[in-house]
Amino acid sequence: MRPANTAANSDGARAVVLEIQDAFRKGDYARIAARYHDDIDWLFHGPTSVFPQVGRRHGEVAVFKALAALNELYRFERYETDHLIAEGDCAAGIADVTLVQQASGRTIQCRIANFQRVKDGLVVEYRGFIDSFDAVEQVIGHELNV
Amino acid sequence: MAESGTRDIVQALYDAYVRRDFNSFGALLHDDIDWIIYGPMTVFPFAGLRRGRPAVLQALAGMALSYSLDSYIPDFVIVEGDRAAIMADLSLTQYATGRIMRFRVANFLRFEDGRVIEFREFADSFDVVEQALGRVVDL
Repeated sequence: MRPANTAANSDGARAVVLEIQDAFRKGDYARIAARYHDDIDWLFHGPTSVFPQVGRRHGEVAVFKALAALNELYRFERYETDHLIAEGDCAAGIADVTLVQQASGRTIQCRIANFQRVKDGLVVEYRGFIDSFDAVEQVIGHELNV
Repeated sequence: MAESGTRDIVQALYDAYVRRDFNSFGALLHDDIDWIIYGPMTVFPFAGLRRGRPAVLQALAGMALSYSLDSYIPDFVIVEGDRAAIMADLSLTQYATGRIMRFRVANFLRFEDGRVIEFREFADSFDVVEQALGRVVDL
């Protein structure tokens, strides 16, 4: 991810992140996608063997497909960002997230760290991080044998 | 706190960590620091929640017993008031095996009185575990 352009006004980045958070909370994926730039560079760090929706995606369409696939498997119950920091054209936050796995009804709780760069009111770069080992254990419903 | 002050402390903190200068690093931690490295303590005993400077330094000393830090490059830093968010590329060598581990971390810090009072570190912990074990984790 490129360094923040600190000359830009951070209000724009903050507003976009808060709007996406609100859309996530309401499961409004179309509204989320509308806030993604056509050429978005999106990367969520995690094992694609368990979460095929993560990894790298280029472009709004590819990101929207990944989110739609995620929505098929999980329902967002909670998405609350704290630690929101904005500087220039970038914002970062940690979200408390609760998901319900549609197939099992299992509740998954995690913290997601995210970094976003905004251009013309749209997210053009996204990086997501999660304690993926813990998330995998929650999704498969048992402890991993290491 | 002004952004410039916070940014200077961030720089000093990471410089001290890379130099393995734990005296300088420890001096930048608040007595009441609340510190979490997200990851499985079964594989990484130094991960998890630590409260207070001695507990954090003890965890870092534990990490240093098993891993050498080859590089820690914070290439993305944003600062607002008393908070900072950082992404960095990390490279470690596992002493026991000579195995080199490379991964990206996200750090979130909050400062009080010029010292870190809150720290959160995220990484793709599943991938980091597989690198540490040198094999794929069976599901």
